[in-house]
Amino acid sequence: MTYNIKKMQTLFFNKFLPMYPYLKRFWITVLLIPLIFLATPSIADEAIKIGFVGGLTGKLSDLGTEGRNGVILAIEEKNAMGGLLGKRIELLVRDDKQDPNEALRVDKELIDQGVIAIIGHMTSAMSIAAKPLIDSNKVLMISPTTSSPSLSGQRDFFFRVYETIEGGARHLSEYIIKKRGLRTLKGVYDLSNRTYTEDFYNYFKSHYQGMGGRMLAPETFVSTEKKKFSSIVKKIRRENPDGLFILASASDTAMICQQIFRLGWKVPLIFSGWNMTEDLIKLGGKSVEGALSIITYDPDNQNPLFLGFLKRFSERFGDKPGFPALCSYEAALVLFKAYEKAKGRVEKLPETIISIKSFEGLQGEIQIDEYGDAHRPKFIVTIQNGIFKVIQ
Amino acid sequence: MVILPISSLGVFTYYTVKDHHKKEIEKYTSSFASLLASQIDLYNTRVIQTLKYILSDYQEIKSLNRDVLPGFPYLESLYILNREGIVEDTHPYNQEQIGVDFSKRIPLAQCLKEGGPVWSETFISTVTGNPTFPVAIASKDKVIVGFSNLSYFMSTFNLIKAIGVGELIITDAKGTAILHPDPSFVQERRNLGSLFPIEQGLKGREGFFKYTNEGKKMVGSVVRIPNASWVMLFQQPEEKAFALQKKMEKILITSLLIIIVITIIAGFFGATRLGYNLKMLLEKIKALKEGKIDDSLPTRALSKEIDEVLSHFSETAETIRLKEESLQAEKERFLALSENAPFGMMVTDQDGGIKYINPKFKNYLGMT
Repeated sequence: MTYNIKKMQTLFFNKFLPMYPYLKRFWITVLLIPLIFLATPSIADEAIKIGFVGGLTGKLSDLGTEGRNGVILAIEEKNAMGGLLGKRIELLVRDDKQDPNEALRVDKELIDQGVIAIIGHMTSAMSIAAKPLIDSNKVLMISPTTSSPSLSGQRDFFFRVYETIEGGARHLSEYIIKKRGLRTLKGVYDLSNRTYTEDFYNYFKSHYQGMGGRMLAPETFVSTEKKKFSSIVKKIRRENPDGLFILASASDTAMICQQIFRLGWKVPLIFSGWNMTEDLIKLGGKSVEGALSIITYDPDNQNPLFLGFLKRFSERFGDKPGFPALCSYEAALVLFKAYEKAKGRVEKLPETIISIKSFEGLQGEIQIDEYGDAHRPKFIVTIQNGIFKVIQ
Repeated sequence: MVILPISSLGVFTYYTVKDHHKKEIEKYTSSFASLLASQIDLYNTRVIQTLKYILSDYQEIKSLNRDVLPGFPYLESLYILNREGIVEDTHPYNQEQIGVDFSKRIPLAQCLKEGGPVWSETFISTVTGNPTFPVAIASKDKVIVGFSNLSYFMSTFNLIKAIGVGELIITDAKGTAILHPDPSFVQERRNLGSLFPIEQGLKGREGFFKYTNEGKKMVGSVVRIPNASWVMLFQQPEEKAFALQKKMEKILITSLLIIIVITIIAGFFGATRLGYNLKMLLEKIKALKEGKIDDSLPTRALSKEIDEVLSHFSETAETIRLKEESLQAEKERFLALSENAPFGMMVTDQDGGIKYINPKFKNYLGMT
C-alpha cells in the first residue's frame, strides 16, 4: 500500500505537475470549442405580429376570407419592401366563426401572442362583442367593414376604415324613392348580425318613411338556424311590396333571391351592402341581376393605386377583389402608416391615427376622425351581367 | 499525418453517397407523388364516367329509380341543369333548388363549348356551408353537375397521414386548398398560391422542389392532376426526407472529430511522455558523467523503446563499471608487484617518454 502511494506521488510530482501548464491550455481549448458554437448569436426573430380576425368558415365567410386575403397581400407587399421599420411582419389569422364567444377567445389569443394591433372583425356583431376586451387590454383594433353606428362617437381602441351606415342608409333611401319611385318596401334581415342589420334597417326606415315611403313589417331569420327561404319568399310575395330590402350575407341573400327567381317573381331588390361580395354573384347568378345597393367601393375606379391593387390581388388569389378585400388592404395600410409615424411605439398608435387624420386610400381619401370613425365616398351600385356597376 | 488521408476518404465517400442518396429521394418523392396523382385522377375519372353514363340515359335511369344516387358511390350529389344553367332536378331531391340559377357556380360557357368535364372553382355551398368544387359535363340539351364523394379522396389522404411518409396537399386551379392535412385550410378557403411549389404548379411546372414553408425547410414534388387542372403537392420536411443522410453526416463529423481529438490527445501525451523519459535519460547520463554509477535514479519508463534504451544504457554502465573494477584490480596487482620487486622496472611510451619507474630503479638512479 505504501508502495502504491509513493508510486502515485512520484507520478503526480514528476509527470502530471510538469504537464499542468499544457493541460490547462488543452482543456480550456476543448471546453471553448462548444462554447463558441453555443455563443454564436442566434438571429433573433423579431417579427412584428399583426392579427387578423374575421369569420372564415361557414356561409358568412365571404367577408372574412376576402378580408384576410386583402391583409395577406398588404403584408406580403410590405415585407417585400423591407417590412415595418425594417422588421418583418408576421400575420396571425383567426376565425371568429361569427360567434361572439369565439370572437372573444381568438382575440384574447391574439393579444396574448403580442400582436401590435388586430385587423377585424368583419361584422358589427363581432366587433361589438370584442370591444370591451380590446379596450381593457389597450390593443388597437381596425375594422375593415364594421359599419354599425353603435360603435361610433367613442374615444376607444376601436377604429375603422368603413363609413358608418347613417349616411349610406339616407343616400340609398333617397335614391330608391326619388329615382326608382318605389313606395312600399318589405325588409328581410338576418338576426345573426343584428347590430348591423337592425341599425341599418332602422336608419333606412326613418329616412324612407320621412320621404313618404312605407315599410311593411320586416321578416327576420337567423342565418345559423335551419330555415326554408322558399316559404319566407312565398309569404312576402303575398304582401306584394314594390321592392324587397334585404339585409343579409351574400350566401343568404343569394338563397332568398334564387327563391324569388324560381317563382318568376320580378321584384326590385335592394341590398344593404354587407352582401356585395363576389360570392353573391357566384351563388346568386341571374337571380341578383339588377339589384341595388350602396358600398364604399367603386369597381370601375381608375385610380392607379386601385388598378395596381386589382391586378396584384387577381394574380395572387385568382379572384377579383371586392369591398372586403379593398377595405382590409386599406386597414393594413392605415396601420403601417401609423406604426411608422409612431416610430414603433404601440401605445401611441390610436393617437397617431387620429393625428394623421387623412389617409390615402386606394380609391381616394379616407378621413378618420377623433373617434376612429371613417369618412369616405359612397357609391350606389347595381349588378349588371354578373358584375358590379356604379350608377351614382 | 494519418488523419489527412482517412478524413479525405471519409469526406469523399460521404459526398458520393450523399449525391446518390439525394437523387434517390428525389426519384422516390416524385414517383410517389405521381402515384398519388394517378390515384386522385382515377377517382375523378370514375366520377366523370358515372356522370357521362347518367347523362346519356337520364330519363331511363330516373324512370327506374327516383333517387339515382345509391347506385353511384363516387357521387355525393347531382344537379341536372338546362343549357341556361337553371336547375331542373337534383339528387338527393331538394325542392328548394329546383329552378335555381346555377350558371355562375360552374364555368357554364366553357362547359357548353367544350362539353366538359369542367371543374368549378371552390365556392361555399349554400346547402352545407362547406367549400365545394363540382365537375360539370354538357350534352345537347342538359348539363350535369356532380359533387364527388370526398371519402374516396380522404381514403388516400388518410393513408398517407397514417403512414406518416409526408403530407398531401391539393389546390384548385386558383391555388385554393381543397385537400390539406390541416382541415381549417380547406374550410377557410386558404389560397396557397404563395407557397413556392404550388406557385410553380399553378404556372404549369411539375417536379421536385426544395423550399421553405413557415420557416421550415421542406422538399416536395408537384404534379398537376390531369383534366381537373388541380395542383397536387406531396411534401415532407427536409430533415425527415434526408434523415439517413443527416445521420451519415453526423457519424462522419463525429468520427472525424474523434480522430482529431484522439490524435491531439495522443500527440500531447506522447510528447509529454517522451519529454519525461528523455529527462530521465538525461539525468542518468548526467549522473554517469559525474561518476554516480548506481540504480538509485528512477529508471521506470513508460514507453517500450525508451525503456529499452534505458536498460541498454544501464547495462552498458554496468559493463563499464565492471571493466573499471577489474582494471583497478589489475592496476593494484601490478603496483603491488612492481613496488616490491627486487629489480628495477621502467615503463616508457612509444616515443621513449618515461611513464613509470619502480622504487628499486629509483634507487639505482640515485633518486630518493
